[in-house]
Amino acid sequence: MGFTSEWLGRYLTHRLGERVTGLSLEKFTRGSSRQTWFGSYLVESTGTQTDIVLRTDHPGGSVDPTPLDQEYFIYERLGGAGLPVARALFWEDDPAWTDRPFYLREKIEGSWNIEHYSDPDPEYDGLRIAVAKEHIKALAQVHAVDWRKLGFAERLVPPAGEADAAAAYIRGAKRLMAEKPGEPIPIFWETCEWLLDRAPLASRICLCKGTNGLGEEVFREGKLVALSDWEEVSISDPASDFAFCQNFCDPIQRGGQQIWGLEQALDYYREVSGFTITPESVRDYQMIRSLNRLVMMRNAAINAHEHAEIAHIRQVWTGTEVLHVVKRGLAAAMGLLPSLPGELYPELNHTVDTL
Amino acid sequence: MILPTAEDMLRTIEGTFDTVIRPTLTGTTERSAAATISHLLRLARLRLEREGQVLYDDIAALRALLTHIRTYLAGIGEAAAVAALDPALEPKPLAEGQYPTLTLAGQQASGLRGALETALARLQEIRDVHGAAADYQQLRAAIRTYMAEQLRRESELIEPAFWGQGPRR
Repeated sequence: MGFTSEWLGRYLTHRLGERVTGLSLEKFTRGSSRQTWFGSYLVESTGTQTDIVLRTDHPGGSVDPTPLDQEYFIYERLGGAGLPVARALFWEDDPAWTDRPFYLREKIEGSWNIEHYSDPDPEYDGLRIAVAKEHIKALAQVHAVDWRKLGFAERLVPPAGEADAAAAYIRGAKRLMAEKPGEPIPIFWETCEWLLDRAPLASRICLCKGTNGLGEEVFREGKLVALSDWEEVSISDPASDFAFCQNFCDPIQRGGQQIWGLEQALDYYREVSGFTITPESVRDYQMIRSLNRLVMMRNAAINAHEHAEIAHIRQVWTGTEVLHVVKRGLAAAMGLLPSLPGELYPELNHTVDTL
Repeated sequence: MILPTAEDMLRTIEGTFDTVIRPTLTGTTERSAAATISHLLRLARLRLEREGQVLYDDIAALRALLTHIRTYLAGIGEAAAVAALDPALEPKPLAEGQYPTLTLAGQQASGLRGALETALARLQEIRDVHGAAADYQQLRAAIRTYMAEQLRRESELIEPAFWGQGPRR
């Protein structure tokens, strides 16, 4: 049973209880952790056209160690949080309708890409900084969400307190690593111990989005219109969000001065949120969060081995090069190997349509 | 030797794919998948060329390290941990006429690395009691040295396949 526009029409006719025509349903090229499909349907009685996003696991398995229904749960709860987030629509796991569980959410018009963002011309520095500030304002809103009231703790394990935030994150990564048998990676366990010895004290405990930055959100005309990737959401130290902020906290040097970077981003965050996050705690979380990245990349390697005939080609890449890079990063943090070359990280983020 | 070798063929496939097929692709999905394929073809060729030696060296290093760990654990009366290590250290000769394939070597390295994980977990558990002792610290340092060396060996396969070779997706 495949996802097609005809299938979408039949399914939504069943689900909405009125005649619906599926207009389109196409798989998105980005994203190797899970499949994303973009679709559109028409309610015939009203002539209303609606765009949707369908999320499901790859036939060869998900990279994300948390289940798909948790992602749906998060979107459902975020609906009451007053954030720019697409509305969750339906969860479906009935084999009469699908071979793989999926969920639908509204599609918010826009793109992950921002025109000229990656153009190194200083003319676009203002654009880069404005976009990063937009994102930081949105993160401050996320961190202000009342996660207790909205019931996020039903699926996310909160730390015992500020002193336990990093340890809780590490415990979670260890549990996820142990859940799935695969290639042994001793440096993971060595790093867990090393990081626990250095666990930072959280400034506070809050809802953290997880994966942030270019490629993780939806923009329209340079404005952030939806926070869209919640796969690594947690209740944790807000510093953890700045530890994964693809491109948005990268330093911009002009005339021998840094006009933007992590320090400026954290200053702006303090301005809009009233809370201080130190660059040191962000750097700590860059390592702590690498543990979950390692689990995910190892899952990609396992999927590529167990389902080689149907594996997503990108999972073979993440399960080889990216897994290696994460391991090297951990080794470098512990002083076992030299740091990775700085130019490698932007190189890993380049795609055929960002160059 | 059968000419062209598997490496030769992969090199030609890489070149043909990059110069004949990729320039004709226009859709983002196709261009992205093709970019990934080019990198993975290069990695597959490098693994054919070098992985045997990489695994051979890794197995030797793991055997030496696990023997060191076993000696230490036996010396402090950790009989259960020693018993857990012993099956991994037992020689596993190939059957007569059996070729030592890359898969077999990979399985052997993986088994030894799994035994290292188990032993490391025990060493972490007893750190509060033994962590101040010089021989404990020397052993933990030896484990970290192994980890760094293993990653250096892995880098010999990964770096030339990917780094500086263009967008991955």
